Amino acid sequence: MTNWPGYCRLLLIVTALAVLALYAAVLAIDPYDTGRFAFIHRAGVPLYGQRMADASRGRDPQFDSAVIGNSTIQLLDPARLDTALGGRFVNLTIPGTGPYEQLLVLGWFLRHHPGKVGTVIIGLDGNWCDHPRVFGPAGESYPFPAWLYAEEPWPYLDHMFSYKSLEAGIRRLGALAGRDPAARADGYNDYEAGKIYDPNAARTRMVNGGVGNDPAEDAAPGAAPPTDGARPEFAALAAALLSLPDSVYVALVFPPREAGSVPAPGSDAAALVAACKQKASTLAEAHANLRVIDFLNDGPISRPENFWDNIHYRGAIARRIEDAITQAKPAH
Amino acid sequence: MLFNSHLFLLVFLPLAVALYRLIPNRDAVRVWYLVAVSLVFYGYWDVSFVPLLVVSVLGNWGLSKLYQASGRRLLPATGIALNLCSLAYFKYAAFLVANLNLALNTSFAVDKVLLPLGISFFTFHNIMYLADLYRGRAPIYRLRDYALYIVFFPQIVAGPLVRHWELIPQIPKNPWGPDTAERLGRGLTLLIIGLVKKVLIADALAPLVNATFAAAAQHYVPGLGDAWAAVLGFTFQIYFDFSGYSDMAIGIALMFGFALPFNFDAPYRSLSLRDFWRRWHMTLSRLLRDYLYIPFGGNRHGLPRQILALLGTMLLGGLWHGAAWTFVIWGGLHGIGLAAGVLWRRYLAPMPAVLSGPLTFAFVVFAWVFFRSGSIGQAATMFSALAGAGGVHGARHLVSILIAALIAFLGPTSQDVALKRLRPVRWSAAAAALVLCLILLKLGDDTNYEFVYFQF
Repeated sequence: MTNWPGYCRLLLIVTALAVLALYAAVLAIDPYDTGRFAFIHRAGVPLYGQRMADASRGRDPQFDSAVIGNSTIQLLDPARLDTALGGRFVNLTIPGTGPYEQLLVLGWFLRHHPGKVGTVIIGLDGNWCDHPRVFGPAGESYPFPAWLYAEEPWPYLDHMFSYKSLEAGIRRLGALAGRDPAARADGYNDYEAGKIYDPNAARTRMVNGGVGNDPAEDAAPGAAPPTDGARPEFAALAAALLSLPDSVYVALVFPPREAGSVPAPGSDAAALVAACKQKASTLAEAHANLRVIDFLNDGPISRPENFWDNIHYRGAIARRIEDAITQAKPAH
Repeated sequence: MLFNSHLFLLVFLPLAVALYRLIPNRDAVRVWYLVAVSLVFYGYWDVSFVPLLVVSVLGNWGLSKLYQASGRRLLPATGIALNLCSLAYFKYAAFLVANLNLALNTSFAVDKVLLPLGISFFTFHNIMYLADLYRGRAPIYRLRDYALYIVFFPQIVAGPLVRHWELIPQIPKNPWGPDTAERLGRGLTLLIIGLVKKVLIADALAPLVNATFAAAAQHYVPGLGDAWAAVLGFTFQIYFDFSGYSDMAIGIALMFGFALPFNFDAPYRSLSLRDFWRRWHMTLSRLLRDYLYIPFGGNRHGLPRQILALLGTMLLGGLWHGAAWTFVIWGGLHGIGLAAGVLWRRYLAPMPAVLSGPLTFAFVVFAWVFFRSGSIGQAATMFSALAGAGGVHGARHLVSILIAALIAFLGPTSQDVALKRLRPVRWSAAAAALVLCLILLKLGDDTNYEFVYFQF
């Protein structure tokens, strides 16, 4: 071939074929194990971060119960919850997220477990209360793949023809073939693992706020004005819970903070926290089996020796929270 | 919409070309079709800017018709002034008022005006035409032809700055003649080359450049390695970004049957600043030469006048890039450099190329620091970092800078590859297709950067 019409034809045909072949291959491999258009039906993904991996975990049929939130509720251990509460727990917490991202994950989990949800535990931290974020993509402190968790497939289809998805697809093939390690199915990610607690270092982090550990700093990029009383995230949470039968145990947990980060009585922050707790109680009125478990107080638990920084508590405290959730469970 | 987007490459462009083929092949139909397509392209960014563009076309064309009827040269002169006023309002109002406040210790407030995309470019197209009209060197065009000249979508947002007598006379040419396939093939290949320059080279340099300059804006002095990598990185980023954009614009225009002027000719291989400005943003350079430098006196009224003309031209050329003192300094530096070159050529022996090439490149690189910095303070921080004030640390991203440098210094120009050397053989078609596929994959990622030149 040495003519221009042939050149144009070949260029367009090869482009079209290559694009279609790669697109079909990526969709069939299903890099994030979303179950959409997939040809591979084995669960699990490689060692992605929680943002990318929780789509796979959140639809895994072996689980019927979930922990939703960010790093302030991350230490709840699914295996212990299984024993204490019955059912099979998956930890779907994602660090650095706020209500917008967490409700997307909750919606994804609920849609993929219709009629068989046992327990849902949701951590309501500062991002829900005294450090509110914009409720939407603008409130993300790190880019969140909302397209992965969206109800309609179009944003997903749009993102699948991309270099990153192709790379992820190749990684997933490697993981399925056993060449690469797979991500943990129950999502448990113990931030204490391999670390030795040093009280002095912890106190330094508390004094300095510690990068990303101060709730105010965590919320900074998409922070909404704290006086904003509308709080659409609670309406969205109520709507999500509405789809659940009354038999489902819903635990709304206010995680503890180190005493220095508990709002002082009479402060604006304290008023915001009080309003937030009030909203949680209102939700309890609508759901027979919803319980509010409140650790956000200045008490023995908020002593600095229980914390790695202002908001990240130690394992022993996580066990206390697990126990409290278990004890609060309604009898039937 | 951006040229480097799925929407443009997979939907807009194929549809626009296919419909162009299907509509009746008559001048009037073709031109109105291209005007409509261009308004859709432009309006996709922000539909609220479309009325301004339409008013700009109708107003300037109306002036030319009034001039035709009355022969009064006041009309094009007024038109030029009005165009400059609109540019001043949208682009420079905040800058002017802020400096006025600083100088007079006043506190006039000015609402932040949203800069309509491409205003620097389409306003200059209008001004060039009116200036030619004033000098009796431009005909009166049909409305549709003039509208196409102003709004033609490949060049509306960031050039090339094409002259009316280059574009409008091409309108009657039948785009579906015997050379159509060659035009489409070469145009598409040039578009792909432009995409490679933008997506694979310029965008790969962007994170390092952005991070280091952002740190400097926060008064953090970057380490020596990072500072040099950022400054060299920006040197190549802006070249591949803007020349890549220009390649795309020229390639796309070619697919519709229009040849636009080239904008870049391997500028970093220049042996003098004069040489650099003949190879860098060539369509802006010739505009500055014809509509500022020569009216200022050029080189025909003695050396002092020539040097003043150079300085004035480059200061205004700098300011055209944006309402900030850093752009004025950048333009001023180039004016001084060009004037020094004039004096050197007049009084001293020619500099050997082994010296003049690196010297020219170094000058251009240092001047870019002002161009990229948002404030003089930020530029000062970068210069201190370049001198090692932030400590001597290693640099990152050296490989991408090295690849970019090799292509910029040794590689052929895109127009040479796509419009001359390219032969219609199987392997080149297949290679172009696979590269296009890779680009389309990269464009699916979330990190697509706008073109650097869209802000000017």
